[in-house]
Amino acid sequence: MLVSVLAGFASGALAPLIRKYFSVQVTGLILAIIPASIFIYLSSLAGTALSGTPVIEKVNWVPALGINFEFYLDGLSLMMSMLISGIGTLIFLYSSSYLAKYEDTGKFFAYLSMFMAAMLGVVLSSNLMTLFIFWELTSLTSFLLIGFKHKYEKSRYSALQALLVTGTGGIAFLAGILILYSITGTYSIPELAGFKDVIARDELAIPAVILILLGAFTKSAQFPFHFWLPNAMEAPTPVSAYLHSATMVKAGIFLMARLNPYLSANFVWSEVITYTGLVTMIFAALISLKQNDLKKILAYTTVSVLGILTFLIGLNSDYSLKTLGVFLLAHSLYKAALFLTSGSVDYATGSRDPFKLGGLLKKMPATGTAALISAVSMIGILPAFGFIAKEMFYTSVTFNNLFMTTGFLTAVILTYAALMAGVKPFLGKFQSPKETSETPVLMWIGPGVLATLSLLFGLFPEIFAGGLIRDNYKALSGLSTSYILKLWHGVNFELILSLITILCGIGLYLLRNKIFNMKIPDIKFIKPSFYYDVLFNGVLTVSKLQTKFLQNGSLRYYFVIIILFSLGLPAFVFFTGEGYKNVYLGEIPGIYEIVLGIIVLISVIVAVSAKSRFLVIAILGVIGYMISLLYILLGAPDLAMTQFAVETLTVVLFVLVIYKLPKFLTISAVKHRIRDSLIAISSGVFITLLMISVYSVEMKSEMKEYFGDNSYILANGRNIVNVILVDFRALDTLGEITVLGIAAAGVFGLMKVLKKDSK
Amino acid sequence: MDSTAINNFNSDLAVSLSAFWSYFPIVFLAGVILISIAIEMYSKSSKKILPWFTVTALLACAYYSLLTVTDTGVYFSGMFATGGLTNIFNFIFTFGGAIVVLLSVDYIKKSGIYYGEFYILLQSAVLGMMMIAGAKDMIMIFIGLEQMSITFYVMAGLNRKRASSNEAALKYFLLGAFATGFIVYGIGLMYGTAGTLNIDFVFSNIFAAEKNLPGIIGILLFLVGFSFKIGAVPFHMWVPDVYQGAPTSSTALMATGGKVAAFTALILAFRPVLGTETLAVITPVLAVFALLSMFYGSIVAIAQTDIKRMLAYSSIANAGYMLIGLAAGNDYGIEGVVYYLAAYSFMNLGAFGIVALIESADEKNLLISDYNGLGTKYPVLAALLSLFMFALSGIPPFAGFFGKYYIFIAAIESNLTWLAIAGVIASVISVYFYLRIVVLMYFGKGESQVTPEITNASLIGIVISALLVIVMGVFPGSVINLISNF
Repeated sequence: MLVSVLAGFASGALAPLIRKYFSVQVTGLILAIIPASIFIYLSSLAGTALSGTPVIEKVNWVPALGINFEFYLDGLSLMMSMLISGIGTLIFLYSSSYLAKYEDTGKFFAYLSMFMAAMLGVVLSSNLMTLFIFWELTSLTSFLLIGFKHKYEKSRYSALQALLVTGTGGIAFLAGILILYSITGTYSIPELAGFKDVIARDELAIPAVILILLGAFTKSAQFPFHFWLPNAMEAPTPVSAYLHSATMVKAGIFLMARLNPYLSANFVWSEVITYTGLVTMIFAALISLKQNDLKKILAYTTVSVLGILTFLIGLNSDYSLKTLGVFLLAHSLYKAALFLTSGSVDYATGSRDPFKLGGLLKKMPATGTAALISAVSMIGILPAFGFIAKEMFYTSVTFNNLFMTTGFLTAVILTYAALMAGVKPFLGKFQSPKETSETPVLMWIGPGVLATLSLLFGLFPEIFAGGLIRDNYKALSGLSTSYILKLWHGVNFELILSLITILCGIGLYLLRNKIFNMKIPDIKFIKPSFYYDVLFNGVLTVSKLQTKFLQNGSLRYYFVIIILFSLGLPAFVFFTGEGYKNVYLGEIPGIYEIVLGIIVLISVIVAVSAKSRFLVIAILGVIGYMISLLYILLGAPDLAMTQFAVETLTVVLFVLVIYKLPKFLTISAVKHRIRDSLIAISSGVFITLLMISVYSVEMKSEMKEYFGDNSYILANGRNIVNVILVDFRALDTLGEITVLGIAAAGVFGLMKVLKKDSK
Repeated sequence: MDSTAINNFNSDLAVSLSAFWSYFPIVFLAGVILISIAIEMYSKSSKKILPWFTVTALLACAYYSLLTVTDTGVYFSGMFATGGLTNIFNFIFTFGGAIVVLLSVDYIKKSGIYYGEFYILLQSAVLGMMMIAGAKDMIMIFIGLEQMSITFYVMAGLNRKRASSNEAALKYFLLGAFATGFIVYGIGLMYGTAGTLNIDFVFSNIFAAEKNLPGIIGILLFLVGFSFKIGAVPFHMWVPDVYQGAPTSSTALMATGGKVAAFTALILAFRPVLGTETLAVITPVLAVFALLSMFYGSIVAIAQTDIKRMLAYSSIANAGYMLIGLAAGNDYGIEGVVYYLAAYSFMNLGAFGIVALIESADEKNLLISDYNGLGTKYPVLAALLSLFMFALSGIPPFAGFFGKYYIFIAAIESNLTWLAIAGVIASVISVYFYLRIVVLMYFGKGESQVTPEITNASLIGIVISALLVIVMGVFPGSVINLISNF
């Protein structure tokens, strides 16, 4: 199975190369070999997979973390993977004709192949982590495919929207998996069976379930994340047929179905799924009433059906889980066919507006027949497969009035939509914007095959799908069943309901012009897509604003922020830790100290208000000298000497530099000066308090004691600082002297350069 | 006294000296710097010799570091360690440094900083990083950090004739010196409370001490100073201005080696107290910095029009992800951060390498819009840049994905689920601006206007980075196993 997936990626990589040497048609035909052979390979495994023991394949990747390629072929993954490879083959054939006039078709086939491979990876994986990786790859390739007509603004917008919505969901899914892993310690889906208790009771299980569901809902376009799917119809039609109806949007359904036996242990799971599905099915169906684009109609009904499928998983009843497989299969067959025929109609007539189309059956007999059969299946008329699906759906919901009413209304609208999309363009009076003829054979063979299958599956359900559905049920519920699929259940409540549905649907169809022209107030803020736009633009605006206000390039401003935060944090700890209690002001200083202090204060005020650089430097020098004097008063003449030397040197150096600089050009505004002085004063006060409090806490130091004890004994010196410098740390001192020497040499070199410059 | 003390010291020195081959790379590199200075002084063709001399020396160090990775030991009175994580970091620094040299060979020629000094400065910066990686004492961390930072200030301003380069150097220097001041002050307060600066004991001593408020404030100041160095919000202001203003090849080194080195210091300092209550005190601070950095970096990057600024904000966001790993404070977190640091370095080296290629001699072609239509005109460059963007946005199976993965798992294990989820949301936002470049390159309207001269050295550097990004992504297990052994 890994080989199948890799083959898809490989053929994707080769596609542009093949396209270089062959025409679009030939490229499509060559590439169709891959999905076709995968389909045949999977069919050969079907016998084993359906015998009750799934086919398992494991290839280690990061075994230490439990992330491996584990593939698992049972009823559910078999059905999905056969749909992917089977419909994939038809899509490749269709595209090879449909895309004849497009540019960059090499890339298109590359994306399509890679998408198929990623999608196979999703449905075959039984390791959540690798499943997630393939999942993200489907989002990415879908993004590339939707944006394929990238010259159109709308295409790019839709592609990005789809990526952001499904990508966000994907990441939520990842977060969910990680939390699930943290409570179960495994990524392997079958191994989750042992953790049902944990999943039911652990408090982290609820966020995990919700995050995983977010992933599934965004991918399967559930309300309120459904808006990306109709917009994604900007993609070329084969893409819509493949990704946005038959396969990718079913990934979310697949995920829910796959995890249902394990996660339904948690009460949140089924509740959330049921009601999300219920809202989605009716909501999307209602919107589809107002569409006048074949693809949009099909898109909204796809969302609606995805809602039905989600809802069926949520019901989690014996019968609903059986229905799920049937409905999913039926929908994939008829919806992909209808998408393809609407693409063919567009191709042949240049229009996708059902109000402007009619009677095409005579001009396009093959396409038309396929569309009509598929529409019959979608409506749910005997003997198409859709009929069985709808009967079973009704049986699943009859126990609850709310569910039944909603289901009935949805089915009515779906009937109307099927008539609009599958019947209206082909029957009745001929109507078309331009002269039309049948499409190339490769374009009708796909829908033809799918329509035929809809019929065959309906006529002989047990032969074609019986085993698949039973094993599918087993995958969904963990139980075996001997249920036999039948077309005819006799005259019962469901059949009568079904008849009423069809009649109501036809009624709606007859009123189509009135419905379409009905004025419905367009309330922006009830649309989820409105919030998407608001959020999207909001982030952009915030981003731009910050550049203007926070990142304005002013160094002084940066200093303000850095000082505030770097001192604010310690200050917070200092005050909440009651560090100020250690502040002890000591004795009143003597008169000399007070005089020095006053001089320093006056100097500071002068320095801050000075308007000339020279003055500032001179004053700073004065402050330095005063501090040196303080050292003398406190009995540290050596330190004072050093300070004197350093101060003198700094002043001289500063003067040398400033000599070449202009005067202050601008003096900051008063309000800035007030702000700055407040910050400066409070930082100064905090540091002072910190210093004083540190002084009162006894500091441990091995060194102080050691030098105090040993300076006389070992080095015969009473001045500890001197002893340290010349005895204990003599080597360091030598190093320092050397550094000073090198620096002096450097300054000398620079001065030579300066002289040259001035000459 | 104490002849025993002197004897102890002497015997330690003897052991340290006899273990010369364990710390050989750092001595070797110091020697290489001196030789390079001599070459630059006396050889007329130094500009041609130095890059290859530097690459060879750095690769030799990288190889040697990997070779001796199991050779763990502590020397010089407990000041300097070798083997284990130290060597892994050294590998990142030296190998990354070698890639930077490859990216710079032709870049410095075209952008008017064709000086041999560039390579000498680069070697010095790498030496500083290696000193941090080997540090067993706060003072060593400080010395290494200064060695690196001061070199960076010069590298940022290497292009004397350009105002933007001067501005970058000045801002970086003034703000950086300020941050360094906090670090030293913090170290001083720590020493006073703990009575030692040995990394293994300093934090635990502080928390064991009775009146430890000064020590805790010291830790905070240390943290604040390093938050500046790694470019975490709210100490990030310098990052965009400096990354943009500095010559691109200097930026490449600052953004990768420089950031990794600062993180190295944090990892080494906090590792001994992992999982203890000691770390619990600073976890909230780390978590808040992480949260702010991720969101701020990701959101603001969206509005950038200059690609270097965008990468700068991306590096701020990435600092946030890595801080999550530290905040988580468990083994997973540290392994994850180390892995992420390596991944991050190679992703950014590649990205900056391509930016340096596209950049024109007069510092043009740095706008994101200049990448329009690159996909058709230069398919190889575009494909490589797309790879780096995918990797940076954390899309599997590239290196960036597993980096984030480990870090998020670590956060969940430490009951910081909210932080992991925040990280996930921030990554979603970041997907937008990374992929925007990919979209522009392939889907953009109009023809590409840039005419880069694609040179072999740069291309080799970029391709090696790309290979590493892929290999680390496809075989994350082997890398993690290597890290988790220490």
